[in-house]
Amino acid sequence: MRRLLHNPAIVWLCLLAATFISVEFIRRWVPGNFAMAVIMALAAAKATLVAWSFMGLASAPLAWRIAFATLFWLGAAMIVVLGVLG
Amino acid sequence: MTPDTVAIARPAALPGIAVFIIADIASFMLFFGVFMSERMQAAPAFAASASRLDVGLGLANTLILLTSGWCLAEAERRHHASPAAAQRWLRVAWIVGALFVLIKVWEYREKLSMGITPATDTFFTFYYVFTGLHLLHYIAGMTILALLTRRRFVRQDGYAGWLRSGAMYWHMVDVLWLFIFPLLYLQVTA
Repeated sequence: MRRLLHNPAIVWLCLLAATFISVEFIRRWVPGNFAMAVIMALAAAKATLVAWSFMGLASAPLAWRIAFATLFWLGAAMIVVLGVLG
Repeated sequence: MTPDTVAIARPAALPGIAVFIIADIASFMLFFGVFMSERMQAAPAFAASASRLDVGLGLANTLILLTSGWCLAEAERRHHASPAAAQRWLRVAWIVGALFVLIKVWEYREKLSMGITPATDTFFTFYYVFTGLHLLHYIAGMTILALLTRRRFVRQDGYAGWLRSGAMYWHMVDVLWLFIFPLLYLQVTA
């Protein structure tokens, strides 16, 4: 996993794949709360991957990684919860 | 200040930009919360307005941002072994990144010509505010990248630190778009 994070080309391909999956998911599946949860989870996963690999946080102190991951996943969860309530 | 003190002070630039990045992303997350709470009042109207956005253009901009971010990561990786190669990757990152601005300006022009302005409805107010704020961040990032490609503008003894901080800022702009794109362009109805 660590070797994968140190190879920006592989990370870039994973990010492109996740982006296409998000768009295709919305196009092919019935829109709804489940779709929103999936695309926001993918957005948070992509943001985490960018931070870990491109920003180099994979080798940063644990506190930094927790702060960034919390921000991304809590933000995505907030969007999904407010979307479900709406 | 002794040379030893300078050597110790240099790495502090990275945590500094990281604190700014955390604060900036947190601010955007709060904006997204406001957007979603407004959406709770009128989800069908938001979905109808979102359907007027061009998903293809949003997708193209996402791919451009990710590609530019990858080029910058490659530049950073090669910086110590081959500064010349790093400079080439930096220039490619800037050129690819410039496409984002062109597409965004074209998209704004198209929307305005269709009579879609920030005053059209609440969704488009948020659309212009989010994408406009992001574009301002983006232009600041492009200026930083342009300065990094002209090494004479940056002190050589601290170039690696400037490159690291500039790259982190650029990736933050990527991260913001990764949330803005599904929130606005892939808007789904509950």
